[in-house]
Amino acid sequence: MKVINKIVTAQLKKNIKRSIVTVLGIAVSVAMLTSVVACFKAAFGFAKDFTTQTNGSYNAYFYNVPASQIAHLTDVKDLDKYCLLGEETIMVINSFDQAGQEKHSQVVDLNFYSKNAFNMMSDKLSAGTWPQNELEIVLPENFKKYKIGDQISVTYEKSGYAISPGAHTNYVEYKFGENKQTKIFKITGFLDSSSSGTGKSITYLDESTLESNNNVTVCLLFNDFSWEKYKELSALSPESIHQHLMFNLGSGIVSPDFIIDVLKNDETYMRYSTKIVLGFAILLVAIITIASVVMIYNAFTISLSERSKYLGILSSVGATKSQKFKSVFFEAFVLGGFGIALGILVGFAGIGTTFYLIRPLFVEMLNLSIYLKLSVSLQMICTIIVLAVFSILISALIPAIKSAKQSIINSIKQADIKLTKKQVKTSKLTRKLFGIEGELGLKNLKRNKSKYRVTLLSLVTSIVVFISASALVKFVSQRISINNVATADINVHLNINSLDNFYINANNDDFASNLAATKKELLNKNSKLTLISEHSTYMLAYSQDISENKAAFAKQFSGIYYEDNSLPNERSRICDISVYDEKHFKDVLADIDQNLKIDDFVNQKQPVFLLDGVKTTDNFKLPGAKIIYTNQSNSYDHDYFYCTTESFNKFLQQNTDIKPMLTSYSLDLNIGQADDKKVEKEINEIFGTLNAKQENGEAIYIHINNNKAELVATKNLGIIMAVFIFGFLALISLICVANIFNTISTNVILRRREFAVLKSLGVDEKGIKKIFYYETIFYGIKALIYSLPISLLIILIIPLNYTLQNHSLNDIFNLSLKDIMQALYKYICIPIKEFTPWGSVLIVVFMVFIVIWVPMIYARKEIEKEDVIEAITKENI
Amino acid sequence: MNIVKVEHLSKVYGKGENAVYALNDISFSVDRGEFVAIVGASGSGKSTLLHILGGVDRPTSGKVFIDGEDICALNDTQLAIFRRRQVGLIYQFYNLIPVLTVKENIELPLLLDNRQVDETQFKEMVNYLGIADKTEYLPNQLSGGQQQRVSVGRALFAAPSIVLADEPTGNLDSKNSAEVVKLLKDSNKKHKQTLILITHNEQIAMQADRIITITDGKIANDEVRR
Repeated sequence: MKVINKIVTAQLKKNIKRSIVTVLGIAVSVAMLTSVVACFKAAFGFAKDFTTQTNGSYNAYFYNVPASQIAHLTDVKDLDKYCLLGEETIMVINSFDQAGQEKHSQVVDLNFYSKNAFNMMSDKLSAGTWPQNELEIVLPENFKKYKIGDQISVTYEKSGYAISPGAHTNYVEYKFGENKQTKIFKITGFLDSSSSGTGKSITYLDESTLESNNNVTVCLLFNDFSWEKYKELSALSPESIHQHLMFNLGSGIVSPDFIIDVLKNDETYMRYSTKIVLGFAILLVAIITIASVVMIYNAFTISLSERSKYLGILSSVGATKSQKFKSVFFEAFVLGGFGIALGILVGFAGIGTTFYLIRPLFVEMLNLSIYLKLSVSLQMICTIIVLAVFSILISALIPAIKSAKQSIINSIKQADIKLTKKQVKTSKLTRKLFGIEGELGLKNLKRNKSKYRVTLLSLVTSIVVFISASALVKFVSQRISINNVATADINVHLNINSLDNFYINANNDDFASNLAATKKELLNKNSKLTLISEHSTYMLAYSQDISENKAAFAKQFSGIYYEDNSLPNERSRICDISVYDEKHFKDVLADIDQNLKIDDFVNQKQPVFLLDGVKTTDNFKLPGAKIIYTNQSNSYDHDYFYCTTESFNKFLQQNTDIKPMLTSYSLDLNIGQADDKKVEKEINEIFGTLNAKQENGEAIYIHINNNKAELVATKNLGIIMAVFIFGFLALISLICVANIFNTISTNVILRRREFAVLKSLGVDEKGIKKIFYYETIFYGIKALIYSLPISLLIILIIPLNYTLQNHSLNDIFNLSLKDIMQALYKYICIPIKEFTPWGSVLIVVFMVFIVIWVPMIYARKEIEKEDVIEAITKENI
Repeated sequence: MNIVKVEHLSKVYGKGENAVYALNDISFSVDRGEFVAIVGASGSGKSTLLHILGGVDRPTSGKVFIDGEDICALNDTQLAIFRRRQVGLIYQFYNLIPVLTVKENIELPLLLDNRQVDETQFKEMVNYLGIADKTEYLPNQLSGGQQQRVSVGRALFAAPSIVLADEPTGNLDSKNSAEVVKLLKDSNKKHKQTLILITHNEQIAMQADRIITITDGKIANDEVRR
């Protein structure tokens, strides 16, 4: 080994504790880089899994393509496979009454999938097999009153709407046109409701039978979807707006070029989130790199100042500048070698463990078996090493140049620090307040500006990152809890639609009894369920003229309204009636207008309705009912009434010929200790049969809001976010602490002769302690003075984006003093009050002094080990 | 009248077979106002003796009385106060505090003791030391000779009863050496301060009232010259 390297090695061994701290510091930086790289790799993998499971496994699709153009679009290089989706259309399953008369029955969407689509799309089967030919079909899970192998007669519309993969059109928009046709299908299986919903059926699309004017959606999956492929497809994209090209973002696109292009062109919501993710990644890597560079730079400078005498002596016997220069890089090589290896190992192990621990949270949150997976590749390791080596080289460069430049005499004398009086100037007040010990402490901080700044920067970075992260977590969790005020564990919402002239009316005993029986069945099946409230909405045509009402209602009853899409006459109008139980109605009243009193609506002789609208001269009336008006603006294009169940029943009893049409029904349930996922499944099964029970062409959509699961999901999201934010924070703080430890302890140790002199001059242990105390206090106070305002500023910025959304520019230019005061209160006082993580601030204030105090104590112990006399009589350390 | 009285003083490093006697059963006394030079070969134990006298180090056995008080019986805080008030120490390598100015370095023992600084006395001191124009400088802005004068000033300024100097001229040229010794001697005469000085320089030793020669931790010769 070269003699200079031997000295370096000896020096590193001599200061083994500091060398270890430096290696650990480098290791933490590398571990952070590793975890960031692994996180992004895992995030892309996660996005791919998520996209594949929810949208389907394809990279891009062409929408609304005439069959004649399919070959042109699928003739692309590197294509793994493609599939075709025919136009989605409406289908009615025919059934026959006892007399053998055909009548309409259940309505579902009919989709046409080519062979590959069955495994490329996200639909899954709950039973049976996929259709093999155009005469086979799979039905929704809630149509299990049929059996696999049953033949069904259906009527369906031949032309429908082009669809995007994974999308599902609400079929109520359709009406049968002239292209109606009837067909017999054989049922081969049932679709899983969690992947395909409750209103979708799929049959086989034979590509060879497509006519040239049939439109299809062409989905493409590539072996390797690159930036070039993206550009190639973009060039192929048809010019017509109706036949556009879309990409399945997240399905394997990791090229930065692609992301940039998406940022520039893509109009989807992904644009915003990609921007955030990208910005976040850059910010993370920047913070890590800066913190690492500062730490490693600092470590080398310290080590060099200790070694400068040796280097000076070596120079005096003929060592060249380049030899000295190289010695610093040798040190970097040794420390870096250990640090990088350790960092990569710890980084992968740490992030792997984190992924493993949060896996159940992900699965619970998404209800899909998708989670962050750790993948290790040579490419990743090389990227990390390159980044780490780069930061180490940058950090070692300045100390290396310095060491090479330093004159021999200065090196031997170790006179590298040239003090000026101005540099160590302190105010007279300092001495008055803190005595000579305090003054010495403060002067010591100031004597080496760069080390002082590094320590301060490390402290400030840690504090700001810690407080802002805590504020962010607090802010997000507050937002989450605000958005999560649910009145019940589960809301079940039935959307009832009718096809053609079929509908459900309030007096439809069949439906009412079916609905009541279904509800009862659910509540009986699970004793843990409690019904909190019920709410129904009805639709009604009514007239200005009471005498005409009967006719209007009668006409509507016969289905004319829906068939003609017109009202009985020009004095007729459509209204909605929202019916609530009494308790719920009280809340509704409070929401609409605080001046309304519940007593005006209950226990009245005649039915009472609330109309959300202004009273006008040509008021429409409901026969036999009292209408109370509110002055709230009505944003609907028709009248909207509210009433209690009691009033509504009274109204129906008084007007037996009026048949309002039920459009939706919802109920809120509390589930107690029951498993929400199980209950959700039960509801789907029980209410699903309701759809199949109807034989009048009604289509009932079940929508379940599982608030409990959502709460768990958001809670999990909060935990996952906190794990990553605080994990990152812990690592950044570790780097900073290593930095502070290195700087402060070396600083003190380098001054051991001064402490010995002070002791020999009669400073006792108390006095020495006092100097350490004051140094700690001054460092801490200075760090807090800088970091607290910066943190405060960030706390103010975090919610700003949120609060500013409600204001236009006009508001800002027309401000009075009162407005300004209000704005100050709103944008400064409230955020400070609400989002300042006071607990974290207290912890920070406490921890700052601990973090400074510990290396001081360590260094003091080191000094104490040494003989005072030896320290004094040493020519230099 | 004795100001320093040393009785059976020993300082042993190590134990058993490895025991090294830096000082081996030394006894002597020094009168108030006496100028004593301690000479001896390197490693003979003279610096150890000086440090024990200054309360910086503690003996293995024996007693040291300064002004009638056994300093070996003092606890650390009492010893620190003793050093602050009774002793002025001068080192070969000056050992000034780099962040303090010349003025602050000289005043340091008083400042540590929270005592008022007499500005007239300070001016007299810096005039006496010949560094009146350098009082606002930092140590690194001074030459070696000037730094040692500051160190002398620091040792004398609190008017200690005893000044201990460990080879104060070891790092200086002959002109500066002569001047520093002259300063110490003058102060010794003027303020009747006791001065105990370690030196290798025979010429300096010859200026003392008494020369104690130490060899292998023992007093080999104690010669009173005047």
